[in-house]
Amino acid sequence: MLTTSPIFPFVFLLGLTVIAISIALFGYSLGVLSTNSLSEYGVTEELDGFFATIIWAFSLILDTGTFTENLGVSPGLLAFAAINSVFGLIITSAIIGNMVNLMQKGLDEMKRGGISVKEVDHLIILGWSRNAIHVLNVFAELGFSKRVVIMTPLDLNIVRGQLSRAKKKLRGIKPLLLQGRTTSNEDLERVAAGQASNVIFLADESLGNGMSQDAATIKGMMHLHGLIEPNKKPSFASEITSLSNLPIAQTASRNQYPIITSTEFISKAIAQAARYVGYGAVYRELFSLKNNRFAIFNLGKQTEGRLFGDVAQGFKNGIPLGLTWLNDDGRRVAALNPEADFDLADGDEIIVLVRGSESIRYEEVEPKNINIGERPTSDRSNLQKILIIGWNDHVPDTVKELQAHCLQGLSITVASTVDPETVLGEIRERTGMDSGLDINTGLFLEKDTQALSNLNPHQYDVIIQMADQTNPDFDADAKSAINMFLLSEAKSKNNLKFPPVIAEFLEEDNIQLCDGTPLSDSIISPQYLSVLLAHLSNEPILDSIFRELLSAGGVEIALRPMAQFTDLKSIFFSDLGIIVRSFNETALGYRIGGIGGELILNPSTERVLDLTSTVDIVVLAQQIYT
Amino acid sequence: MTKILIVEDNEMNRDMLSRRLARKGYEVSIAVDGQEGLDMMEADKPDLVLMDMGLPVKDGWTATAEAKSNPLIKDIPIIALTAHALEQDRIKALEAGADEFDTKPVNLARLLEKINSMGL
Repeated sequence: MLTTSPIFPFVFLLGLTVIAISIALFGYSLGVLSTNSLSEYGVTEELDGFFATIIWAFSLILDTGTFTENLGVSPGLLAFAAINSVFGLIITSAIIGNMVNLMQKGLDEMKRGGISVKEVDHLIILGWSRNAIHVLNVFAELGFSKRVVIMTPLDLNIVRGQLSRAKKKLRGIKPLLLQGRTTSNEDLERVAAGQASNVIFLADESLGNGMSQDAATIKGMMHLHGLIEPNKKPSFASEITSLSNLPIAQTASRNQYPIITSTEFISKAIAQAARYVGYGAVYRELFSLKNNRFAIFNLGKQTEGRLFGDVAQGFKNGIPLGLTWLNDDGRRVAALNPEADFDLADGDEIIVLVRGSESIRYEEVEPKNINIGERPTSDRSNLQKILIIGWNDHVPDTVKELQAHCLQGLSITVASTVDPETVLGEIRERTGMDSGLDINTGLFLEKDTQALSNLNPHQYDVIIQMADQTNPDFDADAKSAINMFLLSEAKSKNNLKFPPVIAEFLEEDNIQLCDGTPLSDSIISPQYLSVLLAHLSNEPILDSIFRELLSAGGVEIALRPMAQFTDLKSIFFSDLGIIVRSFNETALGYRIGGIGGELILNPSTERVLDLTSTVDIVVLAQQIYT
Repeated sequence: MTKILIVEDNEMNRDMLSRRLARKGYEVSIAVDGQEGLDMMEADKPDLVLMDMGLPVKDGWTATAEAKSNPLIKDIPIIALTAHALEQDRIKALEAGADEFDTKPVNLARLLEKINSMGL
């Protein structure tokens, strides 16, 4: 319909103008506009009568006081002037109205998120979920100064509300919000996706279950690939929810962009935290972009034949974690924690953990050799009985991960409000459960304060509390906090040794609710994922490193008692690094005072460690199973 | 050139070990699970197999036992590699038919000694 057409106001305005001019011409042709009458207004014969009339008519349009003046003109001319003035008023108001409408429309469009952006080198977040705030928080901490554009199909008022609540965390970041489908080529063009410096694709919470979210991400990635200009390759990182969709997602991204599978990474982190209590804190610190970053360092000279352990000693303000090289098939390969005698080749680059924004300082040094002989036997994690409280998508993968870390005799009890048969079915379906794993499921009633005591928590090696979002009326973190207090009660009932408790939280602030409870370590899942995504969007090679750090069967982060490495009372961190490397491990930092104690990662190589108190060394190590 | 087949599911371990052996002059091929390892043993007839034990599809113990009962490939020497560092793991690997056993992380000098002691 014309009235809803965007061109209607212009057509209307044009119509009125044509009518006004027509009346003027009509009056002129009838002789109403005599030379004498016109001369009263200063319109002279010197002008062509036709155009002079038009000018005069327009001068009256804007002169509403014409009627009050006694101009001595004929009644016909006055009537004509009156009509023209009325039309003038209409046209003037129409022009003003139209301008206001256009401005209002622009503002509405901006509010609705229907505009197009003309940015270059901006950060785009496609999709919206709880993770988005954490991603923005990471970039805020990094002092990111470029424009941030967010596009989601979600109602932008919801997004605005969440952004407003997180305002303090997002210092200096004012995202431009656009509503649109991340699966639409047109909408992706609107955010200038091909011109961005960083693109982060999140599993959008408005798209329902995991499959729909992943399908949208995969389709969006395919569109994005076509939009990116050959000379402009943005750093790209993407989140999908299900590991089973990873191969398709990798194909869609032409294997060029890192993809994080949320359930995979969270479940691996939870399993690792269960194996090494304190691991959650290590990861928070390690991946804190503000304190540490992963950098690729080119030695810039002949590296052929040099040993990794020797080269590693030359780094003055960072920890060399591994190396990266181009394989014969053109694939960039990353290797973590190589042996000290790993021989380098020309073109190899070193992966270094650097403090904050410092640039890497490297000096050639005469390699030092510190030999301390045989290493004492280590205490290895040996989990056999595990209690998982609560249910979410991460549980089946967590079970699978715990199973992968344990050879045999593992028994896991899952207590949740979800029907035990459903729980068992999902675990069986997702893990392909086989022999060697004993799964028990039980109905855990939220309102029954005795339910936790009845599970005899003392009998387990570790207790894992999941962020349970099965009941939308009951906040997951609040539920976890209540369970922590119930565990406190259970703990106080007898003097038996109580197992460590690991909890998954959705918000970091909620951990403090659990002060004084048996909570030993926590994983803040949205924060964890977001930090990984932010790292990956800056340095895609980290994809294989993160996956490796968390997987069973490769390199892992571990906490080892200092006594395993030295019995000295004090030692330079650089010397400790050499000793640790002689056992094919990499020292990342240390923890003083056991679980919950002070954690120092990536200290200065010149720092002297005082070893009089309980010190654990944080290392990168090959996983050793029991 | 001595042909070595590495059967290892962990990509990083694979990349590092294959590169180090290739730089020592060995011809290296890769399989990512026990079944693929057996198939490649039959197809390529390598001079030596470095077999990880914790493998998907078919674990290293089963693959080793099957290789040693297959007349076509039973004479190919197998060194079992495992991150399970207990004595029982060594015994288990040797019982499955492995000719040698070594632990991960790989100490290349020690591994090369074992390879040399097999006359390769």
